[in-house]
Amino acid sequence: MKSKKIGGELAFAGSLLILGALVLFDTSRMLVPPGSGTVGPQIFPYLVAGFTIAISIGLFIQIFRGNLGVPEGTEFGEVIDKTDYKSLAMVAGSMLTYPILIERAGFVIATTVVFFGVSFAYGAKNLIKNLAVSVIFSLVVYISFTKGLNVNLPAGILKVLA
Amino acid sequence: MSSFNALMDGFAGALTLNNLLFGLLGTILGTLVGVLPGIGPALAIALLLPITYTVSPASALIMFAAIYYGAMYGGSTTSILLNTPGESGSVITALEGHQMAKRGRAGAALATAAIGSFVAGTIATGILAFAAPSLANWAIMVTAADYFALMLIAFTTVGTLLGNSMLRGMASLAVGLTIGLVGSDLQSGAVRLTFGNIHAIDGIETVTVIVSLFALGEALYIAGRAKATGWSLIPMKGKAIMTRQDLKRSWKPWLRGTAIGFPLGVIPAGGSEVPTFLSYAAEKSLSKNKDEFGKGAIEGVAGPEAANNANAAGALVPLLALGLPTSATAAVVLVAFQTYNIQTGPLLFQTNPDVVWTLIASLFIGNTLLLLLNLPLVRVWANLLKIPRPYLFSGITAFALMGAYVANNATFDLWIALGVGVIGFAFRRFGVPITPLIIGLILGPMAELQMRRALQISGGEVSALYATSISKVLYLVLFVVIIGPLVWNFKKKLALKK
Repeated sequence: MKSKKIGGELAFAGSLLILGALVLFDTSRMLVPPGSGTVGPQIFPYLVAGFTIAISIGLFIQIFRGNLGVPEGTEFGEVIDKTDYKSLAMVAGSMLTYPILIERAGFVIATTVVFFGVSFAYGAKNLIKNLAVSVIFSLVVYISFTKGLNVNLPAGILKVLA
Repeated sequence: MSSFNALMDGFAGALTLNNLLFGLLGTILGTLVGVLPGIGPALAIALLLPITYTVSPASALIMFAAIYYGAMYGGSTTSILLNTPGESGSVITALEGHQMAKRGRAGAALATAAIGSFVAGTIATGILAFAAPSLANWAIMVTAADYFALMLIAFTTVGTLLGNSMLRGMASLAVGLTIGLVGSDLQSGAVRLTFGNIHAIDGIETVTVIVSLFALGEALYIAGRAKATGWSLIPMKGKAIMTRQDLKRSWKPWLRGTAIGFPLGVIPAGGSEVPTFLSYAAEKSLSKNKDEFGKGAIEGVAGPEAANNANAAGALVPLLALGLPTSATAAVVLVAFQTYNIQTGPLLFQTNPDVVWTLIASLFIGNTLLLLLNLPLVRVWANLLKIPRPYLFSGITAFALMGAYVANNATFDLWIALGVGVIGFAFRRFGVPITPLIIGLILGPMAELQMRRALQISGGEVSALYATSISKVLYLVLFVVIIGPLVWNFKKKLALKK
């Protein structure tokens, strides 16, 4: 079990290392416009990349010495040791639908889907009530923002109904 | 005397019926969102920021000031009734205030928090009005190299003082600095880290990053890593009033809290955690009834709440005079100013005096509106806490995504938001603090600008970065900030071994 914990930590430190390397790579092949002077646009990214890589190496050392991160506490209940992948996937999946739906189906449908999905993952088991709340929420937000605050939100396929 | 006159002009500009209505709306919205569990002041302000864009500049400022104070006050209501500190500055309020509420003294706790916040906010804004211009006058002499040193200090203090591990704070900072690099470099026009995406050329929306880190990160984290336990919501009975006895016990802690909170806001001490804890410790040691602490002592709410508010106002001093944010909330405020086209920093008081003074007057007005509105309406706010948990999270998620989309009406921003949400999840999971990322994201580009300015003047000579006496002092401070905690930890380890 302990090795599994380290696995996540190592992946985190590894991502940081990759991030630093990515900045290094991007900066090295950057097209520097002529006339950028002695102090061009590459110095600071190089510093940031070096800093990021140094910190990630520090993290690796820290992890191998058994110094693991303390998961953050939350106001909403006890923190558990094992990730609840089912709930996590449901919430993440609902969020993923939003960029796909917002321009194709419109704000109201996209918001209804994400609202319904997240509520369901968080334990709203009464589907009809959940659906009703989701639809009403989306409509109220849509109308108050487009009509009340003149914020432009995509109407999508419901445009024909309006 | 000139500051005073300028402030009066500020009031004249801010006090129109129209502006007052926007102030009222801002207070209501700020408290409404701030009260919701899981939403701290930084997120509340970031979520509501787009609404202020639709109104005129003066109205936007007053609405913004009202949201700012409303969000902070809303957080304390949640702490007291629900024992859920929305941010580190409310931990103490949650501790002591919730105990008061359990003993049926919720009304007194809410009242001392509200009036204490008002007293502290008013005094602190008063000091701000006089301190910020003097600091700005002095800061005009500060060179680019000094600025760069100052920013390094801000990075270090925010990175090391927050969270359990200095290295993890620095990891957070590194990610923030990297996100800040994305887009075209303002000085040379070179394109960085865009990987051929045209949307990325303008850089990544700061507000989107902040909102996604807090809101989407939290929604993912709680779904994946927390077990639902019941909330102990204390129903709000009666009115939010204090007895004569309560007032007698509260007024000194208010003033002491202000005295502790304000100076610690001015220096980059990493937010409101330290001042609220210090104020609590001070009240506990000064109190005649020490045994009451931990069971609901009113001093333990009055002092820290005042310290929290004074601290927030104190953070505005370096923000206005130097352009340096020292906490997540201050960073959001800076983003707001940038979107109103206000360049904070020493020149602000010379180039836009009317704007600054309108803002400071707005802070006074927002604070007053809040007191007038909240004490009578406290039961309405308390009812908001009854929103079922599933709908609360889906609402927060939906608003965060909407905010990300409307910033540019582009799905590109949504993909960024989701990516940042994943970062927020990972940070929480691995105990990495979030504030350093935000500070790095906002201060990174400014630090680069100052560094390049300093080096350009010297023709690339690196010693120019530490040539002035101010910068030498600052690097000494930086050294102490880095070495201090290390020595401290080493000593603690030695003591533990014995």
